[in-house]
Amino acid sequence: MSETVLDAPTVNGYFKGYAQREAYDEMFDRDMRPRPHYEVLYQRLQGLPPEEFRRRKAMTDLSMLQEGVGFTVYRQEEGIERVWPMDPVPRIIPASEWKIIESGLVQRLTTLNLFLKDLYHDQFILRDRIIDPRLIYEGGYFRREFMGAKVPRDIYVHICGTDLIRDENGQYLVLEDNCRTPSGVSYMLTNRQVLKRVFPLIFEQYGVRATDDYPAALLDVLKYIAPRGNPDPTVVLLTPGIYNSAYFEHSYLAMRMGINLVEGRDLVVDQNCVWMRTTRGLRRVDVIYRRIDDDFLDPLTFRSDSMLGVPGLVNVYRAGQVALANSIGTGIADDKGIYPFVPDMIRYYLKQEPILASVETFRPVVKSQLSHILANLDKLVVKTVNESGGYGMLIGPASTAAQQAEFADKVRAHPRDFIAQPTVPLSQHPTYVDGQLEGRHVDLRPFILCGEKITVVPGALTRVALPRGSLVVNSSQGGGSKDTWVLADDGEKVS
Amino acid sequence: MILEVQHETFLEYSEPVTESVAEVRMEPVSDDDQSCCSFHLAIGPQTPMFRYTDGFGNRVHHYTLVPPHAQTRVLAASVVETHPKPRDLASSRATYPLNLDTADLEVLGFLQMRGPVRHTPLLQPLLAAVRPSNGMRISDFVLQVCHYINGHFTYAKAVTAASSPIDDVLEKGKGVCQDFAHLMIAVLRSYGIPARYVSGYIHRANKESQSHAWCEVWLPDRGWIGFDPTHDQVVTETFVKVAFGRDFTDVTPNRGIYRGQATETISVRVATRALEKLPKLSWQEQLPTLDVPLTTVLCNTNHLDDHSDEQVDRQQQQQQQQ
Repeated sequence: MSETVLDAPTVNGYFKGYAQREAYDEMFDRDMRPRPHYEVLYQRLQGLPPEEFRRRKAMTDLSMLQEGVGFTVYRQEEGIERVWPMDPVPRIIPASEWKIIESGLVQRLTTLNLFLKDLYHDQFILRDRIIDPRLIYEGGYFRREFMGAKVPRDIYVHICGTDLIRDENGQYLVLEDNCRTPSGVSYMLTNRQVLKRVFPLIFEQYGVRATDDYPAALLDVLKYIAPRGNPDPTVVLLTPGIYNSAYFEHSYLAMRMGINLVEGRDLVVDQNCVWMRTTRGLRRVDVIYRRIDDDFLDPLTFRSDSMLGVPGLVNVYRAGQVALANSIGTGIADDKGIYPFVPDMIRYYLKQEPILASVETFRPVVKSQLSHILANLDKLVVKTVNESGGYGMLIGPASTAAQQAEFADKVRAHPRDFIAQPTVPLSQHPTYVDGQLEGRHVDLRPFILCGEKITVVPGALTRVALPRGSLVVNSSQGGGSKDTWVLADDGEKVS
Repeated sequence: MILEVQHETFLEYSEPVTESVAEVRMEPVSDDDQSCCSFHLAIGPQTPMFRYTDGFGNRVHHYTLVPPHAQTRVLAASVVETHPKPRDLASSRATYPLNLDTADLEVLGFLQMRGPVRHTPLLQPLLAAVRPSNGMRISDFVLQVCHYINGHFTYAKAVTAASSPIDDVLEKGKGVCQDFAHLMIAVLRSYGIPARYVSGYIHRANKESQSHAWCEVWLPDRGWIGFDPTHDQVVTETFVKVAFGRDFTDVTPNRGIYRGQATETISVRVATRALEKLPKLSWQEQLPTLDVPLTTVLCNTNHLDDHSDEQVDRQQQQQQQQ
């Protein structure tokens, strides 16, 4: 890994010593010239006195604290809430790039919903052996018992968060889809509010597309799936409770949408309907935006020891008397063992070529690929197919021989549970570190909504790996975030 | 053979409970081997009943009882005509190992170890003892497994629980029909042979009738065939099939949950009777009195309020973060 430190006369101030390695840099080209859409931001940042920059960073931290933007870190002994660190330097995406991302994501979610409908009904894609049926039946999130059940408007995934990364050439790649209970959209929204206060003038100089519309758009989707076409349905958000790491988001979204935030014990099933306990008696519930995993959703149908769910809920859903977002069994669509087949699904269902590329993926269930994986554990990233949040991973280049041996055993014993990918050097973005700007790796999570049509909010959560050189951006693993500006134009001509 | 089945379940609580939510899988199937001519289900206290067909095609009834109640009675009665097709096992030409590359999708879903039918080191000696040789006829192999399990495990009640994985029967050498069926399924799936779990009833003249469980095995040239490891036999006209699934957890005859601090006692009695001819349509109004004793099958506290705050906190945290 060669490090070229460019210290040209134009690159001084905060960027003195700014290093580019093999990763794509979001702000600079290889000659350290700011890309056109970053030109204004670059100039403005360079013009900030160090004391002023420090003050703005402190403002950012304080605002995040005051907004109560927290998240919870699991698998740690001490305290639960932690402030989600936000970096004050925004990430900028020009309109032409966004157009490709947007159309690629629409194509992808269209396909995933067609796939889920097919999988839970006719299974043409399995009959045609585009995907080996055994892969599906062995998938931990496939709900065999739910086959044949009709879901409102044939939509399974209403809210999807898809993670994109950029390779060395700046090409966007889909890293994974999150089709169960994706989180992070509240951070996207609060980051914007905070950044507008921290850098109001810079923000004004760019034509940044607004994201505020998201809660209203989400509520439209939830109302669209209401049973019997009820135009004024009762919609609730079902949370696991205050100890869940995304509780901030649950309460934030419920407030922004003006709907009730409920826990399982607030709901009761009777007469094949779902009711909410209120101070004025029971009130019928039509749509549930649930942020509880399938396993815990209904102790009658799934895990009988669940204390978070609503007994009998799944049977009411089956009967079409309540709608759920997202539907049941959507986890098979974001199963990492199924991910390599999404391009084939796009060709199969839409007769189109994928707009967004995927990361090359090796599957240990294929014998030749297993030997490749075992021989290259020091170079590959090995992931557990059903884990998320950056848990259960081996990052080859950063791992010890002992860790590699441990994963080799696991992969041999349970090949269906793992995949391996080359280590993609995620793109880097200038990030404020101790009074300087340094390159830190980032990814991009846009949020896609599927109701009457599929829409992508013009914005995203940019997650940044704060430790130097780290490639893990998950909030639970020391990640932070950035405000993400999607421009109305390509940002070249700015007033 | 025409069989009348009565299956009565009493759920009694040590003090009144509320918000009972339950579903039952008790309606016999109609297929090539049997016809369910009549089915009647009654719940007391009276409450509306709803019905759906699950992902396997089983008929499920469900109900809720929200007001306080200290007892529930569920009576399922049916008349089933059994007419199993002759299964010429001896001429089946399927041999080990099975090639499933072109097998029906319906078959491929019954190959995975899951739930109680799980991978365990305790299974290894059994697998070694019955290991099939290449080219061995599957039908011979299945009969051998059935015979071996029947001969090496003892039928005994109250040793294993309804939720027991196969580890329990393997460790103790004893169990009930459910454990025997799970064990046979585990062995067959380990050798790549599709097997599924069947719940139903067995009728035995002049003997106590009972709920029963066995397994079905898929032979490429014969389809699904029922084998009963508890009695070491191929399924006959005395078997009434109610539901099938991957294992017991898919076909639990009676599953419920309630709110309250009470302890629940479940008692069951089953009676089967061979009839000369099909009864009148109004048959369910004149069901014979059940004169067999009730058997307590389960005492549990599977209610929603039996959890500590720490358990709730842990589950809230356990949700996967996406």
